[in-house]
Amino acid sequence: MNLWTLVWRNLLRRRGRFVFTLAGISMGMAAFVALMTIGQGLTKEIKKQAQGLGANLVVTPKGWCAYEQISVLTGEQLPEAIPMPELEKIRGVAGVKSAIPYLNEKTAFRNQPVPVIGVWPEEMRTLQKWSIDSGRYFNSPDERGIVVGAAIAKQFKLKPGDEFTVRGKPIPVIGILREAGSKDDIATFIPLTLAQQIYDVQDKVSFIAVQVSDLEKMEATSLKIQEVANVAVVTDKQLVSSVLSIVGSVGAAMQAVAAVGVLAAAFGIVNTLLTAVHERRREIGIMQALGSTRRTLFMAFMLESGLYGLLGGILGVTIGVLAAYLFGSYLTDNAFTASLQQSQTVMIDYGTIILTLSFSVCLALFAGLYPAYRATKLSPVEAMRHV
Amino acid sequence: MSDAIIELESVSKTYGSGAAETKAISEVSMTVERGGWVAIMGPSGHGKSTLLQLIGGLDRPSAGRIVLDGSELGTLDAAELAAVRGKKIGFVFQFFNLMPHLTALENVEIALWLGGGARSNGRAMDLLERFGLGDKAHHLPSMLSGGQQQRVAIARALANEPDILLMDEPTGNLDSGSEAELLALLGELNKAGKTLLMVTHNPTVASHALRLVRVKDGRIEEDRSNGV
Repeated sequence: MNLWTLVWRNLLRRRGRFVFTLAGISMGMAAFVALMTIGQGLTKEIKKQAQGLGANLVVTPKGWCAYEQISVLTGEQLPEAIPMPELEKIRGVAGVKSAIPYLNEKTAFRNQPVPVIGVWPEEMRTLQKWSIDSGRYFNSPDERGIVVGAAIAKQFKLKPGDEFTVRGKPIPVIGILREAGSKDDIATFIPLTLAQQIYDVQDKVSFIAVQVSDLEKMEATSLKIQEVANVAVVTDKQLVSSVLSIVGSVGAAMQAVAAVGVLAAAFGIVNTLLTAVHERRREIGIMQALGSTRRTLFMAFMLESGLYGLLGGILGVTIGVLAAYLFGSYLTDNAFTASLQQSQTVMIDYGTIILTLSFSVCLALFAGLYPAYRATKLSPVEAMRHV
Repeated sequence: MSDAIIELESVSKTYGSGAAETKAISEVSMTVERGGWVAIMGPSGHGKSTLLQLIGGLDRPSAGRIVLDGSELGTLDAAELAAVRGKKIGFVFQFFNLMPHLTALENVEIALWLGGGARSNGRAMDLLERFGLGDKAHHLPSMLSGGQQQRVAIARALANEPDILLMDEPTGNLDSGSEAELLALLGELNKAGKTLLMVTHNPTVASHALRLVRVKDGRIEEDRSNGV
């Protein structure tokens, strides 16, 4: 017989109460873990896409809203709003190493929407370090052909030589990109001139990705660009933070709900243990008669409480991770995740799991303080009077 | 002549204060020799159990001093008092007071653990076997008869080999057969050197003790040796 045996027996003697108290803490923790897991996965994905852009600065038309900024990262359709002459002006700014235009459009292929992005073939290849899975890359800046992302090729079973249609116009598939795990997998690429011709926007692009030659002078370069051209400029970090703030505000609201759940579960533990102290007051008296110190009694209740936290935490983490996998895509259904595969937005992070377990145990221990204190305040005579 | 193991000097215990003040024990002084067997009798509510609780260190007196085997209880802090309860005293209660969710064996083991004595399961099992409960070791108290439960309670009280056994109506809930068995057992323990102090209503039970103390209104009314 030792403290652990006694506590374990005590924990299990009221099975119903044990199960429901545990359910309370598990559910609270599960909600917490699920939201953290989804949130972290999403944040990581957003940062990865921003890196994939390969730009330090993004030149956009003035007055773009956050939704449009998100679309830069997702490859969604965008208004074609920057005239080509502006691009030339930007290319002329000192400190600009490269400025590459994007024309983000969309077409229907076999009744499915598919992003079509007009690019400068050579510049894009240098920027993105794409590799070709099958077929080949563009031979000239205005070749009539289309290079298809890995996921799109798989979805439509496309191979080099097949015919793709953009706005009803037939274009031969010349190459398939190797899977990159980014938005490029779910897009198709054609030379910018061809895209401008098909979409009838002869001298306009959606946005421009700019690489600066000196990162130290990024701010100055950004200001200069805005001086010479009638455009807005955001840094890659601003872009990410603006996207994260949208995702984050939704996440914060959900996490607040989870926190209320966790708090309610903690009160559940307090309630269960106070009832247990009341029920066991005679046994507490007997234990004191048998030589138990107040410290032992205190430890017994704290341990019982801590076990609720640990078991509830383990159950909660398991349920939460499962829930994140099963429902993650519904919970985060927004413009950003809509274009991503579901699994990419869910990330299991051992840090989160350890944090949640520690939090659960600490919270339970905190909840156990008052009941444990009450147990030590019982006098043996008082305690044994309740026969 | 043996030495004193329990000494009470002008011990009083009052409950409440002001107009509601009740004096449970009034200036009681008595001495119990090592190896003695004292029966405390008296009407209900006249302080018998309170006296036992004070001697056992379960409660502190309002005035006076209690010395138990050389330790003055009033000078001990809560942890030291707990250690005295665990090592020097074995308690036996009227309602057995076993832990309902622990087996007979575990009920004895918990005393070994809390008293800080020998922690081996062997000792707990030996005690149960000695009291004829070897085959009931893994039964819960609810599966045992009253007599069996009281024997488990005595095994528990003896777990840490205390010198003193304090019993509050130990036969109160036993049939006459179990009562006779228990008294025989107590006789053996007393012969083996244990000091026994028991509160009882039952004159037959009291007649087995070597000394009889009658308590009334919180005072000792009579204190005489028992002509056995």
